[in-house]
Amino acid sequence: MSLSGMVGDAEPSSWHAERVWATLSELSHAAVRTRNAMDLLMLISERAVELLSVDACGVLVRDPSGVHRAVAASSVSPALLDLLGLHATAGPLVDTLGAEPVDIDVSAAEHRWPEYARRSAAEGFDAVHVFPLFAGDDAFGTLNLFGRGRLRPAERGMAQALADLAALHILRGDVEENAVPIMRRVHGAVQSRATLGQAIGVIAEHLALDPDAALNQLREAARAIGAPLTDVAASVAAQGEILSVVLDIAAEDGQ
Amino acid sequence: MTETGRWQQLARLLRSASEGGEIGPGVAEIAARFLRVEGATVMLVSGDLTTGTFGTGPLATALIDDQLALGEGPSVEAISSDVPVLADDLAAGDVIARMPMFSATARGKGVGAVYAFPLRVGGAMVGVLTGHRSFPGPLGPAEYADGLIVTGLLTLAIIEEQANVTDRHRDDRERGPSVHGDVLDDLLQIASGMLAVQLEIPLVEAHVRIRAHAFAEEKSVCEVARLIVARELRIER
Repeated sequence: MSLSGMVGDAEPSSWHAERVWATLSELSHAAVRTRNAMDLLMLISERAVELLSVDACGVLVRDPSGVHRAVAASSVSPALLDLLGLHATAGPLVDTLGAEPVDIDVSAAEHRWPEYARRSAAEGFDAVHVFPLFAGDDAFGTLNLFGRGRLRPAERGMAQALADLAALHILRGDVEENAVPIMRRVHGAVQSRATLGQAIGVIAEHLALDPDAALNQLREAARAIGAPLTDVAASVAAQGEILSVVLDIAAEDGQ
Repeated sequence: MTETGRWQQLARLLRSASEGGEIGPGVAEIAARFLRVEGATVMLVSGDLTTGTFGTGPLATALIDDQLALGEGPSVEAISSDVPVLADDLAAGDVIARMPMFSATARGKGVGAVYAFPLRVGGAMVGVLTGHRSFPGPLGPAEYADGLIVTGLLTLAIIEEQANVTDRHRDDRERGPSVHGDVLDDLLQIASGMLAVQLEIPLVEAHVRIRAHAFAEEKSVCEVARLIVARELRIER
């Protein structure tokens, strides 16, 4: 359940502030200890939707052909996946991507990107906020937040912090000297994303679930086992040993 | 040249090199050129087996044969790696520790560095592209980026070949703006996982089946994937 539904338009309560602090701690901890960027980016996407008054979050990265593709998102519902794809290829991202965060009013984009505007409306979004992820002068990716209306100033700060954490993790100090490690981590995240999708399909078929529910089973199993989501996904996609563990845990949940 | 322009140039070159629809030595030559290496091979993989190797010459092919015989080396490691496995310097301590027999054998053949790029879509592994140089040294950012572009195009080409998708003169624009074409589409991965379980087949075969079905039905791969995920389409044996 989105936290924003409880906070509404009031100033953040101290309880909310504690939650923000706990989340930042959790993410900083993960940023230092996570080996695969996709694990951190998935966590950031999940938490962004919990903490901010937005309904969806997607992290996109630029692949070697210059195209931006999603490597993490708060949901794998087909509708959001489609919208993320449009956002990158037939939407305002390419026009607006620059050095600074951008707020996009989707209805204003209607003439230029009608399909994008239509799909956004269908999902209930009228705004998207784009926060670039930087290496030197180069935006190698973006944190994208989808919702209704504007972000409050405190939320903008939080969103920027999340984007900075994502960028810092991928860069790990390799800012300008050598682009190869950055490309390697981005490529690794892209491959892990594909593996995650395959694992979602395996679980969805075994348990007759939709993609989001299948993803939740994978997340739960990863938490229960104490392993990174990407490792669990790799084993499930290969239908290896972890698959039966995931199915057992799901059975205990009554799935 | 823009990133987009470069991959389209490479796509055209690869397509003309694989005229007749087959991945062959011509493809390895183009890969070698773009990686700026002295020789290259494309090794096709199916499950635990290698099903074919095409190279620019006998040394390139011998490096693969050696690795397979010894069970070690960058190309062997690449089979289970998401990212390229680069042995920048076969005389370096850490490389010798990881692949003692292969590094000695390769150096004995006058090779200083070996770079292996896995050809895969997540858990679906289809091959390895390997390049070598006589002198040690890392791949620069442009070479690494070109390597990733070549692997994206090669992965798609191998999958299309397995799916008997033969229309090689299709307009580049139909592939969409990305070097990966639609290979990395999220819904396609979910659909592949589902089909792999439904038909009890490996992920690669599931991906190939979806592509073949799309081609036969004149639908896009993404459309077929969406239908599978929505459980509105079931592909039978």
